[in-house]
Amino acid sequence: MHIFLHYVLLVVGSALVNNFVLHRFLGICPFLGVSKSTDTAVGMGMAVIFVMTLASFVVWLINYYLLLPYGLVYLQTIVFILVIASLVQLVEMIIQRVSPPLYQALGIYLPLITTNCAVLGVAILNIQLKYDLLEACVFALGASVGFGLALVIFSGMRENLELSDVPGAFKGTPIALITAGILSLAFMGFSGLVK
Amino acid sequence: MLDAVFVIGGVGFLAALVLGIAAVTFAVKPDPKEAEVLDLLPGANCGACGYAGCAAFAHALVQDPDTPMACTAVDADTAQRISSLLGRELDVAGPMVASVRCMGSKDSAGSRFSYVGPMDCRAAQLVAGGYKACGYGCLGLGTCEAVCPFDAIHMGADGLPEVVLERCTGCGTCVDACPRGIIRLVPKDALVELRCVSLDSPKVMKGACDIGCIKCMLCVNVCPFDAIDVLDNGGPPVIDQDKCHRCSLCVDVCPRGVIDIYRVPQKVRIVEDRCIGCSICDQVCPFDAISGEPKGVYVVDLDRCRGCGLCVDKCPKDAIVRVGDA
Repeated sequence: MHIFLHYVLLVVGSALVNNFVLHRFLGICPFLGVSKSTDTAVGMGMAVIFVMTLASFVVWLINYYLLLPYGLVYLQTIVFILVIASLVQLVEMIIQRVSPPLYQALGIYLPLITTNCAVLGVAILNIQLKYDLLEACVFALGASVGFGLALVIFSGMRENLELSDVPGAFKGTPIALITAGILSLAFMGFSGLVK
Repeated sequence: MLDAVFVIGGVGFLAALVLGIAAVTFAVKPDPKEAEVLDLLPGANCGACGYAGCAAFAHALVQDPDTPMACTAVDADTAQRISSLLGRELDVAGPMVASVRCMGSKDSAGSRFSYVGPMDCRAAQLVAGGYKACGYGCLGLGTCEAVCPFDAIHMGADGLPEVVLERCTGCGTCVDACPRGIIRLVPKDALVELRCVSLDSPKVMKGACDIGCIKCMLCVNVCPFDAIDVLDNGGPPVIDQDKCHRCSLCVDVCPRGVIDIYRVPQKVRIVEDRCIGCSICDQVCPFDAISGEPKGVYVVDLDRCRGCGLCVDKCPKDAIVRVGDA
């Protein structure tokens, strides 16, 4: 039970309290780029959940069974980017063959994730926070769910913004940034929930 | 140092190897037919077919046997080749071209006020219904030129758009863009067009434009084929392109010069050794251009012939041909 609680707290902590977008400011580019409609936000969120969890798993193995034994931890960033990029590419190929409907649903978002810094961020955080393999995967799952959550909430707000009377100077990106800030403030309410 | 090189190189090599194997193992072979159909389509992605682009249309054509041949930009020959690729008959609409139905240039139709704003007809139309003296005429700011995906419309020096018939594919993009509904699609071989859409009375028209149709009915009365008709909406007469024989009598009779013919048809001549003197052509000619003695050889008076081609269709011996044809 104690172990189970530990993992629940890990998910809540990474999804809500230390939300990747709103607290750690990772993955801001897709957060602003694909949040114009809820449909695309959901697609992007799903793709991120999938890739982030998988990438954390693979990257953790690379780090502890390849980089650490050879004392090459300083090469972390470049190796991780390399591995994540090829992994995304591989996953895309497999999905395209195995499940065309899923491929259609994820669409352009899958390859876009290759350059999503949140994916790299979670991989590096996993190492810095000294998580074991299972913890790393759960942490990544929580983080990506948090990313998707923030994205979907934000897209809902932006869809409403389209219909509201925004002062001319703030139309478009400025009001989106202000809204993102307020959303971030709202998420601060979670702080202290999990240590 | 060497470790680093080997590890990075190894990881890179391994990733490349896995990706290479995956590319072969999980390759999704696109239907080669789709690529061939796509090659035949114009590739301008104009959207006239209703699909997102030529690739999407090619996909639909190959995958769904019920897809109609909605592309307006392919010629009959190409459409035929696509049909044979797909192994089914495609209904191909005759080629259409855009026709601009206004001749009120800057000089002939004035302005009600001077317009300052975006140089786009759609924007100008929003300001008090457009600045042009005629409420129906071309605003001349070139929106149709800007939206044409085939570079087939150009603004002339007189401020009116000119359609380049060779390039126009009849996709209809300009038809949708024109805020005044002046452009319409006509069959490419329908070559006579009354270029005015004004519903104004003759009096108002005379005040607004030097050239617009004043509904004088001269063209309706002169047409030997009953191809010109008046609708009860008060607008200009309408030319029925199925009945019209491009004799261009109406073009000549119009006092405002607003009826236009794209391409004057060739006149006809009689091949002497085929003519048997049956006199059918003489009887059928609306212009009295053919004369001769029965049982003799008939001749065409080229001054009177207007190239309507009635006699060509009627001659039982195929003895009448267009001037210039063998």
